[in-house]
Amino acid sequence: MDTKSVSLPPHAALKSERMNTAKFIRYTAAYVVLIVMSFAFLVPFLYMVGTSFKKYDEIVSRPLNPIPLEPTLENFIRLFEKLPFWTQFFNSVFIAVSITVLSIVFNSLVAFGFARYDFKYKNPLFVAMLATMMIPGQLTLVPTFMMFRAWGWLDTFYPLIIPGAVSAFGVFFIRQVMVAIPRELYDSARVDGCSELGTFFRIAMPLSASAIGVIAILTFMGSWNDYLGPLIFLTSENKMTLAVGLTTMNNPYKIDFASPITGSFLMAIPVLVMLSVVGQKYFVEGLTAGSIKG
Amino acid sequence: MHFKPAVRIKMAPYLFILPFFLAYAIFGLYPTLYGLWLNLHTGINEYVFVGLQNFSMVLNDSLFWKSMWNGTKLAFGSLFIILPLALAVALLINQPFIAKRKGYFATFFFTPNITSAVAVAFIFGLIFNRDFGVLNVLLGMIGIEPIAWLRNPLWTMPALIIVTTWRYLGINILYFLAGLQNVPRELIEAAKIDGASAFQRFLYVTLPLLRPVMMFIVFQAILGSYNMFTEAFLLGNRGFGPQNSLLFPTSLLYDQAFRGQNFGYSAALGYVFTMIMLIVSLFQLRLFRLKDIG
Repeated sequence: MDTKSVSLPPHAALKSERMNTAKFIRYTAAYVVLIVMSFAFLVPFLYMVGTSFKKYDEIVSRPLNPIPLEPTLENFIRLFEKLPFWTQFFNSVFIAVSITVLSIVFNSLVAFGFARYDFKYKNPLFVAMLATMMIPGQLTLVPTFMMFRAWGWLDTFYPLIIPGAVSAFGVFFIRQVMVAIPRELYDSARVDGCSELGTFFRIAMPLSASAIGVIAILTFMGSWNDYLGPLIFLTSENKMTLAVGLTTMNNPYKIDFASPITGSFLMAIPVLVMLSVVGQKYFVEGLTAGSIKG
Repeated sequence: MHFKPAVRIKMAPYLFILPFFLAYAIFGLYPTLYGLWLNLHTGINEYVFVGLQNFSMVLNDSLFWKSMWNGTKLAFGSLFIILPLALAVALLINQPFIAKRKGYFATFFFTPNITSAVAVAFIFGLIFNRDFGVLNVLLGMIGIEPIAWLRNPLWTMPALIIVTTWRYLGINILYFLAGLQNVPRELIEAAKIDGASAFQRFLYVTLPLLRPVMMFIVFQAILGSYNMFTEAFLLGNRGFGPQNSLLFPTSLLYDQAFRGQNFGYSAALGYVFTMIMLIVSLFQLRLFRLKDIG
């Protein structure tokens, strides 16, 4: 509905004015709908933060108001008493950072192999790799557990780091961007005396940084939020990650609502900080741009 | 070892892609075959060959079918609640006058997706509380009797669908937004000039062009529903929920393997589940035709 009015006849001017009003109503309605929906999506977070600072009485007596009227730190104190919180926090950090670093290196290496070269069986190998994405993790869950048990890997961080270091999806996603880098760039670097591995580090990785960044973030968050993995592979309290640790603190006799939610709040902070540091715009756009291209 | 440069170039691509195939051989292929062996055996420390007994136990287990049925219910919820809602929001955000703030709104809806499922379960555990949960307090204001969301088997699935809508709407909005970038604005304008109504433009221009993305999204929603675990497991108090209403295949697999030590049964369950998922996937690929992905 373009209303660029260039010397319109009178009746058209009238019509365009009516259209402007219609447009204004439409725009406002759209924004109202979106803002109300955004708010509805925000509410659970508000309750998470608010409940962390509420006393039990207030949780029960004023459920609707997310803002604590008598803020207290007792939930935090109770959380730290019940759980080796910081140990588990750093376990989560250690695992997530390790797997992220490895995934950056290995996914990019494999993506580079597929994007840069033509070689025998390239297409069948690529299709085979993509086909592995169709196989659900449930197939290998139990045998993998028994394999790690035989290797003495249970209650160590290895099962949560090593198998996830390279993934078909990560390779595919990065390759989609790397494949667009012109061959001439590599050739001229080679002429200038750069090694093959050198072209990987100096050309391919920097030019596909956005895709690598998205995979790094997804890997980090996947590991940080993973529940089933640590639940199965870790047993001792001091090796546990936060995601599982938080679910082990409730005893059935006295349900404590607030301290797991307080823990959830503390656990959500790194992810939210990362999202805002990395830049929501960059992340959201990188994700949508890469995911669909054939 | 000294190779002539030409040989080294020939080997380079295989070295680059080696990490993926090596990792897959160890953490994917080997456990798959080991799982097949486990299927045919029973026991904890000493294994006895039982042939296909584990398979028939899974196929005759009413709990297994109950878990698949729950997955089907969730899939219907995703297809008929989350996806239409996501498409509507994506269409709204994609309007030219909102386009500038697109990233902002998309991030808003996306944030629940990167929040840990554990945190989500705790927050909603409180929101769904029968006596002082926000939801019941709000419903009480319009005269609706308190609902035992997580205790009454009739209400657990609606509760789970509310949670998954909150958690997965954003990622689906992002997918749809990515797809909408492939719909040229000129085409919409042309249809408008030809007198097509907004609904006709959507039905005959936008929707057919969204088909490739739609196929991907539907695929993700269905597989994701059958793969549900963490949210349902935790809302069901680390179990199956009242009358197994929150039982999903992965919960059953976990329970049988790690609480019941029935590794053979669990491995068989993984196989049966994988087969069913592959059949569902192939059926969908045929339905939408494979060439649409590329």
